[in-house]
Amino acid sequence: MKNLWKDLDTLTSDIKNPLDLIKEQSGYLSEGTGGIFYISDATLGNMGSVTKRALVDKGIKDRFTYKVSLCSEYMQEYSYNIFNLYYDITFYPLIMNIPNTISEEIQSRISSEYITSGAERSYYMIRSQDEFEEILSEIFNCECLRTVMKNMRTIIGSIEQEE
Amino acid sequence: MKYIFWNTNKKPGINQYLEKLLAVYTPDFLGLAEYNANGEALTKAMAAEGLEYAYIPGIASRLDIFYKGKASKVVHCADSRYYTVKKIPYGRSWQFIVVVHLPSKLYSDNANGNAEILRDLLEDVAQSRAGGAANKVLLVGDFNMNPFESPLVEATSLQAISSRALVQRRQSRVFYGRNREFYYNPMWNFLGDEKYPVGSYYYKSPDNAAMYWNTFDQFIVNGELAEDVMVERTKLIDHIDTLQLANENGEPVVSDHFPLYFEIGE
Repeated sequence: MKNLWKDLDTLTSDIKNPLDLIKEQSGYLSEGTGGIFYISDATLGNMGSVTKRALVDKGIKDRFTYKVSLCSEYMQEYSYNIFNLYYDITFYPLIMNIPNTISEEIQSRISSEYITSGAERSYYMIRSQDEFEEILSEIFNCECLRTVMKNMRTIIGSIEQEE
Repeated sequence: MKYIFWNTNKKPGINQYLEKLLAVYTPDFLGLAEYNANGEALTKAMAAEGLEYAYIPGIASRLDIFYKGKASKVVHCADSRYYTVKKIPYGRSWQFIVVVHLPSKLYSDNANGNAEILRDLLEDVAQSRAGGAANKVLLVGDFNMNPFESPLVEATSLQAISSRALVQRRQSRVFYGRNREFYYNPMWNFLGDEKYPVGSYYYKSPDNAAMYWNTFDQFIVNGELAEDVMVERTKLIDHIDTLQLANENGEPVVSDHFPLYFEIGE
């Protein structure tokens, strides 16, 4: 039988896996802070009812779910959840849920579609890689996250001093 | 170990009360919500009295901690606006301690919101527990709900019940296909007027169903810690020596909450 597959060498895409973008940014963060900070991506176990509803409303399957957190090599058991991510094999659109402390700060500056809010989190639909990069940039540079990083540095400093 | 939690309601000059509180009760752990004073100044004042406390301000939350011992003994695990998860030494092992300040429902109906926050909290605790052998969990704080309210008792949330024996015997139950851990809430014993003060928070509501006295300030433990709780030593503090924290009607005046004191283990 002849080979029925066509143009297999063109099966590449400029669209990156959202998780790979986060890993790439984690590398930049670590490099820029002398290895103090990095971004972790744990697979999410539990899903609340608001998240489930947002996914159903937008017709997005949660094949890939990640809890994305700020971590430090010097506070090994600590993590600060920056956002959670839900997407299917198509990558986009994807759903992000972001703590309200961050969402309140960035909401007016992003073009992603706001879906709903709970007591602690707000939900957004991200339609493209461009939108994803835009929202990541706003999250990474928001005052709330910078404060958390400053506070973590203070704690790391005092632990080092004590030791 | 001795613990105190207090929502100090941004009270100016609160350090003079805290100095007295620490000197009289010498807690191993003091958790504070709405604390706006100078924590470093308080640790210096206590050091002058021979009590070494480490001040651990919130990272992302607005919850502050004073720990009797070195700051490096407090392991930071997770944070959000409404809670902070730490790990501290407990005997020869460790315990997770979650200091909580949930949003008030007096200004909006956010019972569902509080359930959502508690689920996030449990997810963070589960993630922290997955990393090691420590399994003892203590939650303490201003839950802005009474012990009987849905988010505290529902299986899909905290499932904090009144019977220590049942929590120890069952540990968990399967609900909708998932195994859910029971928690023991000793503050069920603080409903009603058998003890004084009648609650930790007084609110004169114009609503049809006005409770007046609420037991919003609570500590809750999982089955691994339930046996060690000394219920009879638990108390809401309405005076520290000669310092009165209540008015002539017994209502809190220094803050709008009374401090909660309790002991777990030796």
